Amino acid sequence: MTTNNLEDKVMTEIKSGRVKLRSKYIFLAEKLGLGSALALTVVLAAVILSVTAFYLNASESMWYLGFGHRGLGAFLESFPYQLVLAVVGLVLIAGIILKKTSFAYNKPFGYISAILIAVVIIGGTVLGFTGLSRRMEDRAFSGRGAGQMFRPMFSPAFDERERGMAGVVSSITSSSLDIQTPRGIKSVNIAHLSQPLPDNMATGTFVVVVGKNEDKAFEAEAVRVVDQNAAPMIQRGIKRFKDGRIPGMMPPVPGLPALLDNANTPPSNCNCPCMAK
Amino acid sequence: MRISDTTTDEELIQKVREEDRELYGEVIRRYQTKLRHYLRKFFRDPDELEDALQEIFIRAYRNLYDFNINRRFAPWIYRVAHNEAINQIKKKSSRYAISLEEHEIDVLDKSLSVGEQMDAGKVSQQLGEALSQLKDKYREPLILHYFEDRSYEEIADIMRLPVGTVGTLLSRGKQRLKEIIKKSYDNQ
Repeated sequence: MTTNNLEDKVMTEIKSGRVKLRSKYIFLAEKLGLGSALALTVVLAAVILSVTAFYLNASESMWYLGFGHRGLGAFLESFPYQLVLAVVGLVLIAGIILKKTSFAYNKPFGYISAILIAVVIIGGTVLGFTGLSRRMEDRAFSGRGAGQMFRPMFSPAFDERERGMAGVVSSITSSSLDIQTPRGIKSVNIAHLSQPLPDNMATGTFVVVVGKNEDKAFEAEAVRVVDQNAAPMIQRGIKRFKDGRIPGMMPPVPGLPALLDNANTPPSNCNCPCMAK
Repeated sequence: MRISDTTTDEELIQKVREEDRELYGEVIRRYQTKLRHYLRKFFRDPDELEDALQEIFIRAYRNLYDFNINRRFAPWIYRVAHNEAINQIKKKSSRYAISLEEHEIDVLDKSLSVGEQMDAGKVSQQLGEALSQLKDKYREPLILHYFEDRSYEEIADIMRLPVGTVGTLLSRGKQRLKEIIKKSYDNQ
């Protein structure tokens, strides 16, 4: 193909209308779409970062660290990994989108990441002051509205833990405590504590416990009385889920082990047609 | 409508987009020789090269509104050419077939100082083969910088990389090229 041939061929295609300019609005829509996706991702990352900070501040998670190495397991168990991973994932996605835009494609990824992280942190901090996370928590557990979609962000705070527990003391004996948690009343064995019970321990105090969740009770290693305003999300959870039923989560079955132990002995007041009769 | 030689590429594109589409012929006249020269580093078969060139001008025309009029046109159309060449090579699973011209060998030899290591009669072939063995990320900046006279900034625009990365890739590419040439010389 000669030089002129090439020009002739291309221009023939253009003049015949077989090859047309793509509308400028298509490119505009592409740019707007990219910009919107970027804005949405950054805002979402800032919101989730704000929720993460709120979660750590309002749940009992950070209080476990006060027990030193004994509380590390409970802290790691209660840490909101999914929120942190969501923030990291969204920042990465935002970085990839940003690299596709015409103003940042030739900037180093480290530079873009630093700017994005700064924007997300500043945004998350500002959102932290607006009380948005608290409102999201309320919406998550009130009724059936759209707020239910926020539940996965907050519900891990109310998970049953293997290494720790937080709640209000409802009764005390020499060897055990009953603690009201968002998941109902839990029995805590305090016979094998590695340090004495705090002097100010009393019914109604808010305590954080580390130890191990055994079959029938929680074996405590250490108990600490904390401020009444500590872990407000847990305190709200106790009031909100009085029967231990947390919306969207498997309800606990109080006394289930005992029932299983006596499965062959029908209770005297049983009116239903039991299999064991 | 006549276009003077002083009309910049960007003004020309503006006119093609807004006034007269037939002026696109002038864009083809301005760039076909440069792009043909560039594409020779990707295609050995002249028919394949011409088909790719035609596709590049058609693709560039279709997407003219994607070009930001406040930037330079040359890197943009080189990018279209770069992408099309890479697509064609991937589609046909073919290898780069690099044949160098006399002045290109001189340019590369001056930069690498490897001429004395190679057989005088086979310098072009050996350099071409060594370039073919380089990874794409090193070869393409070398081709654009040494054979197409593109600046670091233009290469950054064409390859969508930070300018600093272009410098690093050029430096490492030269180093790798030297190593490949030395290895092939040692094996002889």
